[in-house]
Amino acid sequence: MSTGGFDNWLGTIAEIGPIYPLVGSEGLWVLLCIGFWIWWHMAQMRTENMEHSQIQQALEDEEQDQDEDQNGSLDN
Amino acid sequence: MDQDITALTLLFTELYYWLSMFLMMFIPAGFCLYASAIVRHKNCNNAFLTQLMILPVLALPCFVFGWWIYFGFVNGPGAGGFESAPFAVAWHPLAGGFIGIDEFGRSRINGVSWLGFLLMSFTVAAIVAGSVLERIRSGALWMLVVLVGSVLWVIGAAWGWSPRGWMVELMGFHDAYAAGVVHTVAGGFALGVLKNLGPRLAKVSSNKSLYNIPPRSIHMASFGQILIILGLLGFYLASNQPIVDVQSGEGTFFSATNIYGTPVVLSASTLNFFMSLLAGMLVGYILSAGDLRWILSCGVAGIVSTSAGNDYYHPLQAFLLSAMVVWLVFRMRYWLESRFQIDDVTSAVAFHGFAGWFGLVIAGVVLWGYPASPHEGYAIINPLGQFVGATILFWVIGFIPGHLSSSFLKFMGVLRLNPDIEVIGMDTLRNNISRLESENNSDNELQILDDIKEEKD
Repeated sequence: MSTGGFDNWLGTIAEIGPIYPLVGSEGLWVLLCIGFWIWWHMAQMRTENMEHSQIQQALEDEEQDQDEDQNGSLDN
Repeated sequence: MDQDITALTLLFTELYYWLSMFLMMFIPAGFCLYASAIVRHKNCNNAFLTQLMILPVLALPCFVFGWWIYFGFVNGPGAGGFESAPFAVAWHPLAGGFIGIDEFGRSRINGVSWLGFLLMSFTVAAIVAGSVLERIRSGALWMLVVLVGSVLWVIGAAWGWSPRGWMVELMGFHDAYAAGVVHTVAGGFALGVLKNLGPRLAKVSSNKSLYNIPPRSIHMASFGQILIILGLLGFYLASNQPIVDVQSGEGTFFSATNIYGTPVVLSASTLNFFMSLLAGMLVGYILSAGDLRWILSCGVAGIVSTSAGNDYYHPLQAFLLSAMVVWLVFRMRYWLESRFQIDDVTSAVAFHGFAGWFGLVIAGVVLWGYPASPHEGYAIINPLGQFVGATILFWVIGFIPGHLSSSFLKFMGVLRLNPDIEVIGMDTLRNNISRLESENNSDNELQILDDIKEEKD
């Protein structure tokens, strides 16, 4: 079995053509890569949204703690 | 003998492009360093990351459709359809490694040419990314850079930076080192985005005037710009064909050519590159009263301002034209900021967009009457053709799509950072998390140390 389009280097080199494996399946690689590309942008947006929500939450918590501290010192 | 010369020419060309790619790799390094140094400390790592990820984000779209757009779109809108370019079609055997005879003669240099193309795409995208730092969301920016880096500038290049582009053929458009298709398009696009994005919160005072926001590290920003300039030299090399028989009819005359196939003298255009850079720096020194922040920016603007015609200018012409345009765009930078409240962190609109635009128009006057192509039937270089071409690049290919796409992202609510996050800075919280983790680690270490001591006792 050979994944390449040639099985030795002894013939006419100029007639080899494509040197990558699985010649003929290029369309599939293109579709997979487009799928990966779209997935990456969606995943990136999801990750970014999540990170921003965490930051937002941390800021709100901090603000709440400060308010509570302030109220506590006023009560005393 | 003929075969020997052909083989030698082929190998030399291959090596030449590899060398130029090596130099061009300094462009991403320079932009990452520059961006991280020009922002405030709280956004330093995020600015670096934003620039760094542009290259991987652009790789697939540039390979799958950007490369084909460059060859396929040369006929322009509604004229002549798409040109055939199988070596640029992602699923064609010529797009990968190919040993043999192909009718286009590109199989030996296709990959390395594409790499140059990708780095040019990066340059366009990084110019835009630099101008919007410190308040744009990374996800939105990376979508915008796909649009400008793998579609828009490529259309401009197909039209005006290609031997068979319709703007070259009909209008005599000339843009030897891509001042227009790279820098003018990037500047126009950045302006479109900046208009929707608005200034940084810290930039606007209560009376609506804009504050100056000092960069984190001016000397590191300058070092980043030195790397960018080194990369631009590689860009100049990659814009030429190194060895071509340019003699029509009988006889042979080997020469380097520009992208249009007309003969150029490499040493002269390299000299012009440096003359433009140095003139820009001299003017920048005077205008900024010796402020290091602006000197190399003005040097880059100087290169941009003469790149359209640096293949044929006299070195002193390049010097004087650069000085004139840099003086002009330096003033326009302030005008943009004060008149329109455009907060352009790296001054990309003025130093790339406007400098490129002026450079194109000036090339039309200075090179008036030069043949735009070695082929018969092409228009000559002329001021009107350059003016129309420059305007198409800035407004039609740059500004309008930039404005529309960023309007859409703004409408979707994903363009700009939440004000709370903008104020605290993207790095601050990430750093706090790292600090907490590091403190936890230290606590853990101390605990282990206590345990060891107890065991010993």
